[in-house]
Amino acid sequence: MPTIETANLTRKYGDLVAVDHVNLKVEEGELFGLLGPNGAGKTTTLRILCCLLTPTEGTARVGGYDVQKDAAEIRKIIGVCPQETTMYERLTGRENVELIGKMHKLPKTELRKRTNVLLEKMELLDRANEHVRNYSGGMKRRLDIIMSLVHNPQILFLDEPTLGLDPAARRVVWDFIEELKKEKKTIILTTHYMDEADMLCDRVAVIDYGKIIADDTPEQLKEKIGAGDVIEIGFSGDAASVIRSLEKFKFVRKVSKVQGHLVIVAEAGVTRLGEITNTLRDSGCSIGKIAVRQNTLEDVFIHLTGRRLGE
Amino acid sequence: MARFWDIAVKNFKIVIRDRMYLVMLIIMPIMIMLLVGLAFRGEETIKYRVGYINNDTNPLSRASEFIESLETPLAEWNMADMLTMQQYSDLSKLKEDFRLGNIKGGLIIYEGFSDPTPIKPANVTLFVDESDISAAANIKARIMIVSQLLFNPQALQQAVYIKSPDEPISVEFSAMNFMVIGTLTYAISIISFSTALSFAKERQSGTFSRMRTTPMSTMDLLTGGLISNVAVSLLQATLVFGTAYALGFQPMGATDMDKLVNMLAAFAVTAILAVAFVGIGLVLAAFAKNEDQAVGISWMIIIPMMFISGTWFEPTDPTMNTVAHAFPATYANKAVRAILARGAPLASMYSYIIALVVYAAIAYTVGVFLFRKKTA
Repeated sequence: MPTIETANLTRKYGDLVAVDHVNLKVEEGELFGLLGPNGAGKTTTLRILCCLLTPTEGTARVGGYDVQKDAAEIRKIIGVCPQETTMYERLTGRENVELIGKMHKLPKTELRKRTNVLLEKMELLDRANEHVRNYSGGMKRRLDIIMSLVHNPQILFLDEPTLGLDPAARRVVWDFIEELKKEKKTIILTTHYMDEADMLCDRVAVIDYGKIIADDTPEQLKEKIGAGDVIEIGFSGDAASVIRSLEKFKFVRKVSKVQGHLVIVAEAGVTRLGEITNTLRDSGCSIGKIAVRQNTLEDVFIHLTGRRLGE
Repeated sequence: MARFWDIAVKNFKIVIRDRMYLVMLIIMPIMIMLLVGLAFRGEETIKYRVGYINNDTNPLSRASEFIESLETPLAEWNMADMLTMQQYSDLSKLKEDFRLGNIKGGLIIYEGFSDPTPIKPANVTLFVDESDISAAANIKARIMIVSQLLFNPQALQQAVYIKSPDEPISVEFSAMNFMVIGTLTYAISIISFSTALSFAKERQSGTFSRMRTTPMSTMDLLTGGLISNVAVSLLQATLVFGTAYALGFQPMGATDMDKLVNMLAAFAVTAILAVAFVGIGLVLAAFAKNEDQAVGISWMIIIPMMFISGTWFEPTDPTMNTVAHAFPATYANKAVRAILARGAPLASMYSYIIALVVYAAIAYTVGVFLFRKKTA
């Protein structure tokens, strides 16, 4: 039985459908990524799974419990790191962590020990007794994650855990999540960072306008839009005409126009650059910057929606 | 255009576009003015009830004439009929009514009251409720004037010789005694503000949602809030009484044990009042969409309540006195003032205390219901 399972999960706010008949299955020990732009419905889905919102339609089960009927049971087995840093500013870091542990009735000695271990792993032990209001944004984010883990939950929800962090702090959090994976915890992670989802997740669901539009391993998702290189060319001219011309090449898997760029997925793209640029010139287009790279989950999103994640 | 002018224009736009600011800045001052006006509009027609015992049995005694004159208007002094004299035969009953606040003063007329002798001993005992400054001044002035008019109209000298009571029934109520209880009520009333603000903050900052992802129930959160606020109220009471004691405040009571019991009773009433204010705070938190609104709405309740619940002064208008029953502070003020300032036994205040308990229970229940409904 999947650890997390939703069936036609829907949440509406008036006429707005924030989550639209979402069907998900997350197996035990899996790190599952929910990938999508801001406002796609990631956080709303998570809030339903954490029993903070009730679905308008459909069902969701977490750890075998129904989110509408067994919220008290679910709360015992989940840990939640919300999108916004959420803690009591006038408590110390340690007090905030221990407060969550106390809500879970952890024995005093175990709580103290686990708090220290987690604070040390997240490099916060030396600042643990300071008021949180003196912490930097990165420190608060790390403390948020500790608070979600102090009671050693079976299932962990991480909502944009690295949002707003500098690269060094992101690396600390990623390493920590990698460690959690080894502990075989079931983790749902929402993010709009492609590299994060690509690197960490066993499986990724792409969500857009409340709907799941793809659900597979990062490798499979990238494979679906075609192995090969991604060539991005800044251009101006008749996009429809040039796309038709490029699609005639057998080595071209997919062509999209995104924000004044042509995004071309092509086999051995580097060796085919000459043919591609000639085609553009023949179509009367002027050519700007050219970049060649390996395809990413962002390309998957572009392939599926015709937009970049940030749009 | 100077930057400060742009800022001023921007601020003005924010104020006129935000209904909460409008209410705080425009409607509140008007409302307070109305309340003060209503509370004191009846000042000229107020009547004070004074108990008396007439021990002067001499058939030629002028005691009855004296009492009657106290009740009638004095046209030449431009004084209305401000006293209602109530006869008692039993001194202990008179004292009990005084402690309970049913009468504002007591007058004991001795035998030989109207016997003219060159050197007079005291011929009456008078005690008045000094905690009601207006009543005390009016009753004393009326007695002095009437005695002078009746017994010695030509010479402007005192004709009724007033003796202090033998027991501490009229131990001087200072203005501080009155204000101590007012200050305490005011301090406790802030709990409705802090409750509304803290719960609004919990919701706005997301800590409430975060805590709801743990096994903590909403009732855990609300009960925790209640306990901490009652503890705060007891701390407030300790600090207020402690400071007042240092400045000379003494609770009333026949014995030290009575004083101790009365103090403990005051703390108990304080705790009940705190529960009522937590309830009010929860109701306000349920309606406030954010911290700013919580602050605004709270003060809209607290300030009018202070004016008409007898916290700083007793309203004299009967209608406003009736309206005052909508506020828990009214019951607490009456009960604690009677217990600590007049030495009334706790049991005699049962009607106010029951009213306060019922109020607290209803306010808290409604507060919990609304808060849960709004945060479900």
